[in-house]
Amino acid sequence: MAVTIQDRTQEFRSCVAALSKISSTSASASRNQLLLSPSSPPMPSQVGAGTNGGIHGPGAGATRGLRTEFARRAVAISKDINNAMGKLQRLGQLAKRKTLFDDRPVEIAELTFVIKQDLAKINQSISELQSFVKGGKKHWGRKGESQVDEHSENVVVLLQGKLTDVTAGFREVLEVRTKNIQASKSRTEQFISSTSASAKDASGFKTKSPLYTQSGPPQHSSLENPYGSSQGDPENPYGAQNAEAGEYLTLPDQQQSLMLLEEQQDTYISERNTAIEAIESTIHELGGIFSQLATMVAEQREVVQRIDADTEDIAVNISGAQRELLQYFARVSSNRWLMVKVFGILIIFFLLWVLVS
Amino acid sequence: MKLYYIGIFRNSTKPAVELCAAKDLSSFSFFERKSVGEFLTFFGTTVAERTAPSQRQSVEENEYIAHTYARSDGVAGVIIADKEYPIRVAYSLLNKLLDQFLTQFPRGQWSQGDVKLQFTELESSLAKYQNPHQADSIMRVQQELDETKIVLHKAIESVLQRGEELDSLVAKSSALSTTSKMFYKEAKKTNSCCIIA
Repeated sequence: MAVTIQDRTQEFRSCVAALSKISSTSASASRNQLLLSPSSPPMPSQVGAGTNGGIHGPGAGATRGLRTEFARRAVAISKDINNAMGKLQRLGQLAKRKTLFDDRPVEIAELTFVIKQDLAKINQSISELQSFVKGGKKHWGRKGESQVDEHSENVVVLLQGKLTDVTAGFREVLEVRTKNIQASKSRTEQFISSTSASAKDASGFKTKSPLYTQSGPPQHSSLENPYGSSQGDPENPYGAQNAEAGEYLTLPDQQQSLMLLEEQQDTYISERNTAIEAIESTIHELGGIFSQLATMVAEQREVVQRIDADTEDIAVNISGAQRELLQYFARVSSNRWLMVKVFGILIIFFLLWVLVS
Repeated sequence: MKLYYIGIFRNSTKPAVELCAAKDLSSFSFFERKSVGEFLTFFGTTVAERTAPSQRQSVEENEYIAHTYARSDGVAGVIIADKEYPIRVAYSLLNKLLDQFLTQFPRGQWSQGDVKLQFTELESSLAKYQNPHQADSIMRVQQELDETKIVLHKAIESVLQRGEELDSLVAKSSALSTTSKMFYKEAKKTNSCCIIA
């Protein structure tokens, strides 16, 4: 029942390269290019160009060679993608099995590894193709070629889209596998209930996705690595979880023999665990500090409002007082009668004093 | 804390074959370098041979520690560092490098014979990981978080100071408000009441 998937893409590619070297120098270049040029549907323009190739002479022949080279590469890449999709389906089948005992982790791990490598290779070849297209554009630059440029770019985008689909499917399969492993672990516990297993439980259940029986490479984190961020910052927590390997897949009977091994692994793993927990607690503290800061600023806001109100009052009072003073000043400076009255009283007092003394 | 040597070996055969290596011997005098380099290679080879597949090991020798990680498919990585270098960083670096190595060189290239492969990542990561606090993501995150915490503490102190200044401002403004009110009343009194006699 097991379908062995053989990856013979390299051979295919070397054959194509050898044939192209032979055929590019011969006079029947155009015919061979027609044959080699793809059966896949997106390439009709290249095929059409290939048929006219022989008429235009050696200069045009070089550009024809470039174009069908692109076509050939694109075909190779799409075949790779299809291969990878086939392997992924096989892996999905394997991952869906929920039996306790017939689980074949070695095969799954191998398949996962192979798929990962294939995806990395495909990614690389797509980026090569993209740079090839960009480089090829500089050769052309004639008016009639702009459609071909667009077309090539569209093809590259299409291939990238297919690759992303396959990657997403891969991730889903891995998640399904993780869930199944957890489910089978819990079922194993129910059947084989020993104290050592329950003791391991407390420490081991933090780990989420052991994809391998023995602590092989953390495949999640390395899956992310070929794509984009090579430092893998957001991936690191993911990788840390995966690196906390489950020797947990071994049955409890074998624990004693593997105890030493596990201890060594545990050191590394528990260290990573503590480091990440430290980060988590630091972030928690930071959150607390921020909220304290917010509270303090909110309290001070009330104080500021009081100050504001006070200054308003001051302004009002001062302006009122100024108004009064102005009125007074106006009254004092305008009322002549008042001055006469004042002088009159003064003179009366003077007279009184003179009369008394 | 220094890294001296990073090497990738094939340990499915005895003796282990060094596939690629990078050394940093700048801390040794010119005449010592050759012998130290040979010693590092020999040490790495021995440790790689003696590490079973899917196993991590740290072996101490004089003042060097070799951190080894052997994968189940026959390739092992060795990092030789001094005693202070954090172990976790060494192992995560090993993981990363081995994965990159395997994606770059498929199995056929190194499973037979004595090949020397060019893996430029070794040199660059050797240089980069001399400062593990910056290179390793976990440590870098921790460091940045600590710096942020310090900054936040300073911010809180400034906010406290601001609070005190605001308190004094409040007192002054309320005093000023009362004074201005008295001023207003006095002005009103002078204006309205008795004519100056």
